[in-house]
Amino acid sequence: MDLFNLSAAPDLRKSMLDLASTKAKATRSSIKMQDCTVFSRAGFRGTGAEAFLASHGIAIPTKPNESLSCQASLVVLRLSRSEFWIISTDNSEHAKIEALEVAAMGVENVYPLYCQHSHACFMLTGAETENMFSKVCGVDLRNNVFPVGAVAQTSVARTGAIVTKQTHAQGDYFLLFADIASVQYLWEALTDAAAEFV
Amino acid sequence: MKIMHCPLNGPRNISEFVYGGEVKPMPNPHTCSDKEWAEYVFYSDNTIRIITEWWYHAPSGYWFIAERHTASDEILKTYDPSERFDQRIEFDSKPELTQEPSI
Amino acid sequence: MSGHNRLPAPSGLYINRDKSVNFTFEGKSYQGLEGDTIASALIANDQWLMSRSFKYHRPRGPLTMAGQDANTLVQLKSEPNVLADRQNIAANMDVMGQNYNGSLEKDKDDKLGYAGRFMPVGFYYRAFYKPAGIWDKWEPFIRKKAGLGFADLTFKPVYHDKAYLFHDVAVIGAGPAGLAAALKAANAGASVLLVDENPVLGGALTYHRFDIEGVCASALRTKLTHDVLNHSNIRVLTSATCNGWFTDNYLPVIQGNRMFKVRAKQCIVASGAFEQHVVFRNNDVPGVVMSSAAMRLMSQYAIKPANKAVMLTGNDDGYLCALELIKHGVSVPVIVDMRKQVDDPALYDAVVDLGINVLFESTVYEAVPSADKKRLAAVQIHKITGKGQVAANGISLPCELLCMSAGYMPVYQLLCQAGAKLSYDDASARFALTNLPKNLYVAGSANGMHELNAVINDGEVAAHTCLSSLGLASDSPESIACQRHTNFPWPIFKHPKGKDFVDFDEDLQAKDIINATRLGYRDVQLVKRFSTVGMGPSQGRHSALPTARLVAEATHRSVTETGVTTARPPFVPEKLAHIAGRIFSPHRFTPMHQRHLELGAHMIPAGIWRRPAYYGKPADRDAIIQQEATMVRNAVGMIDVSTLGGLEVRGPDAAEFVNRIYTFGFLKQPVGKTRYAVLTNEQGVVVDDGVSCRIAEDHFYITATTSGVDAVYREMTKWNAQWRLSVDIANVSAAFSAVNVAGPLARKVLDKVCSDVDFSNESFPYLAYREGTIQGVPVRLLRVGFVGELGYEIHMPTLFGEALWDLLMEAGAEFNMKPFGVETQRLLRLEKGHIIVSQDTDGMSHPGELSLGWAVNRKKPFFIGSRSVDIVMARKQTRKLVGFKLSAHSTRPKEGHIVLAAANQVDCAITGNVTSSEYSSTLGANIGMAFVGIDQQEVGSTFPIRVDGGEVVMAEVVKLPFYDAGNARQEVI
Repeated sequence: MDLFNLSAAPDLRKSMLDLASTKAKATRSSIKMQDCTVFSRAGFRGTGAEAFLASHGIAIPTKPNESLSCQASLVVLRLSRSEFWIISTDNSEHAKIEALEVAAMGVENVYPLYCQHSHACFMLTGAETENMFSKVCGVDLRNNVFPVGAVAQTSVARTGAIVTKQTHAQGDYFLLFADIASVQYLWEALTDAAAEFV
Repeated sequence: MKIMHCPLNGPRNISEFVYGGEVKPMPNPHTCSDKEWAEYVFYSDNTIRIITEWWYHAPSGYWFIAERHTASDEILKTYDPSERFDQRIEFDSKPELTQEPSI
Repeated sequence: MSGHNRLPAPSGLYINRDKSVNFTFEGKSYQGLEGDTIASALIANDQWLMSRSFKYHRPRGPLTMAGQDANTLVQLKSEPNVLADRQNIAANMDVMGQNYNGSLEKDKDDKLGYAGRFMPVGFYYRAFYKPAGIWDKWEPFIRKKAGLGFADLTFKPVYHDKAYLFHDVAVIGAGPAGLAAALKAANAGASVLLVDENPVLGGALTYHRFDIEGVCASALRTKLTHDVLNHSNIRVLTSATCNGWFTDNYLPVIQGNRMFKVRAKQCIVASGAFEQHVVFRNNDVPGVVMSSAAMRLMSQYAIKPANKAVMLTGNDDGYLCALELIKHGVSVPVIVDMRKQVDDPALYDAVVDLGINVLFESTVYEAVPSADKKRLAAVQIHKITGKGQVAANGISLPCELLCMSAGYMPVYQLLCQAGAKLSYDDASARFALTNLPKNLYVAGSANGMHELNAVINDGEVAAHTCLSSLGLASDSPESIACQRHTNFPWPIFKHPKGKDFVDFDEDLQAKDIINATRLGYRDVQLVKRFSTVGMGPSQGRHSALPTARLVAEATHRSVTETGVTTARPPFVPEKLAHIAGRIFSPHRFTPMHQRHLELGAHMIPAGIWRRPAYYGKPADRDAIIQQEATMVRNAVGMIDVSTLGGLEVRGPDAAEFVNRIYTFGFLKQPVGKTRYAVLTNEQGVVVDDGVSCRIAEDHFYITATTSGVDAVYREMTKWNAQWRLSVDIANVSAAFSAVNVAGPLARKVLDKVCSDVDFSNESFPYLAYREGTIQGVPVRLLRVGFVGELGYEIHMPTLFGEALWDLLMEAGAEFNMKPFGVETQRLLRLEKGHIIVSQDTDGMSHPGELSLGWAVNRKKPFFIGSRSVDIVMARKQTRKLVGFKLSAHSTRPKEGHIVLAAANQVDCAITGNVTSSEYSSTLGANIGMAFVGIDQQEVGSTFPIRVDGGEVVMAEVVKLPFYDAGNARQEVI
């Protein structure tokens, strides 16, 4: 069979998040949430993944649950010894992501992952975000123990999630990846938790 | 709530984990007696000792092995399964069935 | 005004004199001050009667002024059993007494006390069980009499939530020990959480007198609280209760409407001590209080508690309390000291100088209430002649207040929940808490320290130990021992006329405890259960020690041997709303969710998902389902099957791996073909099924049941953690959405949208797998039976789900294609005899019972359940899953209805149960599947089903499938 290109047709992607629903309505919270579910990303796993990515100029975090900024808007998460996600944090690097996916085809011990379509992605900004997380997550995400670059695979509002702290010109922010089918539920749960931080 | 140290993710609430049963060697399914097989499948000796168990960190989909004391419930050690399982496991061909029971 | 007996400043730490608050109690208006509790505001207005006791309806007033007793339970509009000495007043709050018949002031049931001898200990266990059925007659009466507050069923839930807090050190209790510990730890760099149930920091420093001059507490409190509140490493939670201790210092702390889930690396419990009462006749009359309660009234609320008070003490603290009373203008003519002498002669001199008469080796033997019984009028003082014994005659002394100071018991609850052992030395009457788990420490008076410098030192010592464990070295303070005696060993003076209360909550008297031991209950746990001692709202805070003493004495043992009852969380009653918090109940939507809603789908939960049951109103359910089914059988329909599980197995060992997991043979499965995949567990029970697609030699895509896929994925990865095959296993359930287009016209619909796949029967035959694109979107296409018609399952990356749904709906419009729901799908699949794992199977179903032998390769070396399947298949079979049919006019059996061995026998064996049942318009009959006895499986025979109401219907066994037995419709077209 030919390549089943998960990066295909980026213009036809649609996030299922319904922002018009009452529970999802933005509050006066100082915590801003953005739905980045349709932004391009790719994942690779396998004993050959690290070498494959390195050969394509991707910076490799040294330990699991760490991340690196590769270029201005490309973040690499290392989720285990042999699992990596590459995320375009402003959706400007689609070509690079798609090229990686195509290049991985047929490479031994490199298995492309389905994270583009299996996970929703939210970007959260605001000084109180870490305190909001303490209402929905059992892992301490405060700055002194969860610095920029840190990654936690944990449970957020009872849904499996990957949380990472990143930084860009506008300051620090969190990226949250979670089950795409729970996108509505999770957005509403986070909106509720964020409401008190005005 | 108890905290468990995941070898991949560090200390986490026990609610992030799924219990996977005791680590126990499988008898050869072709040669062991029905009794040996039944003991493997159904029995565990509920005694006071350190037991070796499978645990799964659900958010990261990661299996590991934990050593736990059954009386104090203290988790003494957790480690990657590759420390214990480092060889590819093969199964022998099945001997011919002497009789094919009717289904 | 806000009470005529207020003291001038600086008394009144809790209150704001500038803000008065109006409220009502029992319909009468009162005024208090901001910061007042209901109890303090009432006492400021001379209202001491606040509640009626549980059993005898005796008048009760505050005992501790700290929420440690049940004598002040009141009713708020939407909340029963509120502690009046904990709950702050609020503007226009309506407060009522509770547990009375008539009014609080005139309770028609207050004569129940006279009937006390007909209500001996454990009377409800003993009196109402004979003759049989008599309890049913008594129960309504007793429940009415014994009830406390009432629940407001019109109450509207309010927002409650939870939040984690992460700290290096949690300090529970902000008395002198807790404050010192918090400062010491914070100064060394630890992040500290300090929790206190009171609104103001300081613990005993906010009310207790520690020196003759009465100056040190206030100065120390000011300094410590200032330092704590200004320390950047300390977070302070006041009016917050740590309600339990759970493993690894997981501490639920309730503050307002939030429950904090505290995670502390180290925890210091500096929870203080509960002052203990003296057991004598009428020790529950309003006006008989703990000495700490009197001091709290003066210090915290600026209330002069009486004009004339008597002090009853078993330690030097009673003298300090007497000094405090006199300082605030209360006349204290007498200190009744149960001991032979005072420990600190200077204290004795100080009280004698003030004209107080000290009576040693004496006790109050009886309190005498006023004529209306609502307030103390006098005390009867007798000489002590032996342990618990008094002289026959005594003196009577009029007074409105009696302060008791018999000693202290550590607030051991959190520590004992953690496994600590409480021991008691009968000679010195001292407690010790030992056997604490790692990272948990006790400090201050909870640790038996009763001198201020020793208490503070103890807090610092505990903090030092925490810091050492945290690797934050600090100088090690030298421990100071504390030898001060505070506990009088036997403050129990049983009266022949009783009403000498051990437990105020449950109206238990000294004789009740002793009688329980005489009835054979030696174990304190059994005494508790039989007598109910310690079971009331105050949970033994005051009854545990006298009970232990009485049981020890009666059974000739020591208090340590007797022990106290088990401490369990919660420490104070907690609302379900606190436990519930924000109810996080995750639910999943498919990408077509909005479309389903727009099309009027009736959505139902399917596990954690929401799925359309059918498209239309529930009132029309049966008709809609038949319409939707007819559409699929005769034309074409589409169903959203995105909830299906999906698993990817890739790598050189992919086929070998799949072959070991599922029952069928997969090594030779051709690329481009699908194969039915059954999963058995190690017990040989069928636990999941799906379709395996071989995409390439080294690539399988396997569907799994909606609810089973996560467990299947877990099992797969667990097995390969042992087998070490070279494969990658991925759970792609969420990454793929899917629809099934089914019906004779299905091909016409697909032909319109997907140009790069030849859908003809020759090039895309039944059970084939193809990949293609629809408008540039890659899709996986499976030609499977599913509902028994020509049909294609289209799996697409999820972000395109809605777009492709729209496209297919548009393409199907000319064929009148409409969506159908999951209930219709189940009918269609039932007609084809497809089983649904976990609907038509249970925890015992092996492949033989389900007639799935054809899907089991029993010659291959291994699959997970292989050996067990061999064993169970070799046994004599006992049941079989069969299809059955009943006439359309017969009562339709429901899922779960039982199958009987014989129709006409009343108590015959149950041989099975109905697993699926529906009316089929295609067949014009009620059809279903059921487990039946092995001798009931013959096609054409009938078996009895007992349906609702006990009716027995006869069902005919039918060969499966019910519909299109030759499978021509799904395969040949």
